[in-house]
Amino acid sequence: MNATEMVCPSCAAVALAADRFCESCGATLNPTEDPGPAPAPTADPEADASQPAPGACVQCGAGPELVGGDGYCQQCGFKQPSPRDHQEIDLKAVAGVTDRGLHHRRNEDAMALAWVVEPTVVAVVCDGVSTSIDPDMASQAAVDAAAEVLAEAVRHRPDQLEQATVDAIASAQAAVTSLVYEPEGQLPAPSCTFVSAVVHGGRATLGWLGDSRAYWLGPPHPQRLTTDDSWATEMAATGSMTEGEAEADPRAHSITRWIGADAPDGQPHVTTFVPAGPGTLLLCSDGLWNYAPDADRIAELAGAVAVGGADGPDGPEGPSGSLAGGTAPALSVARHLTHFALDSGGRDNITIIVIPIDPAGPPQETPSA
Amino acid sequence: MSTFTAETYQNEYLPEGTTEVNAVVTVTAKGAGADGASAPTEAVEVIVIDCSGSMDYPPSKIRAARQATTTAIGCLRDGVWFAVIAGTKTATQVFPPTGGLVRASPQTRAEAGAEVARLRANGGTAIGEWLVLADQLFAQQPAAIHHAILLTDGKDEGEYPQYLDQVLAACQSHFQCDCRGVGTDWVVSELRKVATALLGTVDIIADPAGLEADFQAMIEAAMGKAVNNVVLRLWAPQGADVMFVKQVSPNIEDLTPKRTAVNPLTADFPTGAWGDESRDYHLCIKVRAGNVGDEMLAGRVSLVVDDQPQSQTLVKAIWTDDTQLSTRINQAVAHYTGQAELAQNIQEGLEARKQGDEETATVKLGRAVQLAAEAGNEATTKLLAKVVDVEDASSGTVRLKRQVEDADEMALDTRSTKTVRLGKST
Repeated sequence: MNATEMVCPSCAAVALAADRFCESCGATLNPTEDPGPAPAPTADPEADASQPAPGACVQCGAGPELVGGDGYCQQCGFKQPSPRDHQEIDLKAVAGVTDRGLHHRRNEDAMALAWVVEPTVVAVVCDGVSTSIDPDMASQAAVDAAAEVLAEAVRHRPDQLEQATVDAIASAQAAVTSLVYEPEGQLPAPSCTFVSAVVHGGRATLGWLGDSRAYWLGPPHPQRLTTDDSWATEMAATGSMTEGEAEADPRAHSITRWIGADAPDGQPHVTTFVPAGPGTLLLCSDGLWNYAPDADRIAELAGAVAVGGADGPDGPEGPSGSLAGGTAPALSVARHLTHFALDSGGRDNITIIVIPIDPAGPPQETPSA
Repeated sequence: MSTFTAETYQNEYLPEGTTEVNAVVTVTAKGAGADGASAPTEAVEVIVIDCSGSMDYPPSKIRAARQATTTAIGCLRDGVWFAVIAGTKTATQVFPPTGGLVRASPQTRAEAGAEVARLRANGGTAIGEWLVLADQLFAQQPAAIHHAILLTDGKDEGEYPQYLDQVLAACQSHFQCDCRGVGTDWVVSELRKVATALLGTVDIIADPAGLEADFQAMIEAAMGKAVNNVVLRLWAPQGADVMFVKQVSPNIEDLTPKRTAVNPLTADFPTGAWGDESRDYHLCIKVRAGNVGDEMLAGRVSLVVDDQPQSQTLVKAIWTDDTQLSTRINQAVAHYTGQAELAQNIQEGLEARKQGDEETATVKLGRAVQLAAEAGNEATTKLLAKVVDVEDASSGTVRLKRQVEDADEMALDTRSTKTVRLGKST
């Protein structure tokens, strides 16, 4: 299997990472657009009639031929939802969700999540900087470039994953810098944050820039694995302000490192995390953690899914352990946390990737196992 | 090869429940001048000179008209088709004397000058008749750019008022006509009606001595336009109402009544011939209300030349509960809304003054002074100062002048629709 290949979540056939549909069974591949309600069976004429044709205007039902290439209906003018508004990647044992939220006009977050050879997972989350030009293009370009480098590294140099992560960030930087865009007044060039994880052999190699985060929800206790490149973090680090004071400042969430043509120089953050026991690695954009910055709180929220599940054995006091056993499917956890962020206000785009890890256990199940 | 570009200036964010979308669209043409055209553009110029008896009182009027016409003919590009009409209670073709059109050349220009020198003032005024003859002449070269100059010094009293309206309706989009009134015995509203219907300008030349320079400028502008019949095409969504489409720069022209439907959602508005220039349009579209977070295309504007859409710009509506976004004022829209209000206040204020309603006149002209000052419209500020004494421009406090020259009042009225452009930042 080539490094840029992945496994179809539906039929386990090998597919190219760049493919949108599985060659074998036709299922939608990474990243999947929310499929919405399944097409009504033809035996049910009533349901059939109520279903708009695929590609029809979501507002007035005008046929696909009237929905223009610029995304506006040529009949009622309504802006059609972008496929990026809500996407899910469901690879069974691991999953990701990205959502536009309630206030932003588009989803400027992007994510990649794939099984590469053996039980190895590559995950990337980027959050486009809203005050830059075309941040949605920046995040997508960064995610695509980094995922390709990481997948390649897993295949050819699995012992150099930290260096591969540095290379992946450099590749993302090159991809975003080479984007062609129309200047808009004083707005800076396309920019985004970055966080990646390669989970291989029970350990996680992480890389990041900006304020997208990785959390560990597991023993010995839930914890944040990344430090933000943000004004608040830097002020607290210099000791000139307490963390609380810095967080209360309007500049608190201004990021100090990012990917983009005008990004400051310097090495990205790269580290390898070795879990003490089974738990869940979570990557997310600030659309989630703005509402739940604490690792304990996120673990509690994630654990609630398992508790709510039919066979959650551990009760509310055991959130971290309850996940690793696969009690709650990864997609349920990612969806649950997305809904939490939406219910909390959904002021920003939300992206969440959920990767259960059991360092002592058998290799992670691939969908084909 | 000409290129048209269109850009939208608007605040697309609307508070919940709002349905009115306002935008200013700036259209800029490049390579549309006569020298930019790959092949010389065919053009027809018809000059219509009022030869009614009053043009002899004072005789400087008919003398200046003869001189200005000769100069204008001298400015015609070689090869441009032209004709001269003498207007009385009928229309008489002065040149070419055999009827029809001739191409400009050193010889025809000299011959025309000799005929124009023989123009005498004697007869009535029937503007409709003059335009009918001009229309017939233009029809002989249907593919060319058609431009006319119409000069009068009096009221159109040689025919039924409805007749002029019928003629204007029939001539619409056949040719463009710049109208000039010499002296102060003509009627501003009447000449404005002709200019508006025929996509031309209107102005007062109170002193006949100014005619020559003005004619020359008009011909030079006409010769500089090489792209004909440019149409502004507007698509608006189902259920939307196009409240108005106005040209707002260089002067205010309401194009709304000139609408022709292309299909149920698309309409064309004629903008005439273009040279290398830039014009602004103010669009107001009422759309169906959306929910917070919805985005709708409220208008799609394109410029159509020879049935080919040349460029496109979008007018959007995005509903938001963020008042910081929805209360932002777009400077271009605010500026031209103010300029339209300025023109309206001047016209209504002068009308009230004529009717003896000094209170209304003072309020309207005071508001005009205030708006002109706010917009930095110095030309209009100067014209207003000849009609009112300004006590405080910022609050619009004015007193009506007791003695006002007819020419000053007519100049203010005529030029009320001339706008100044907003200095575009970034």
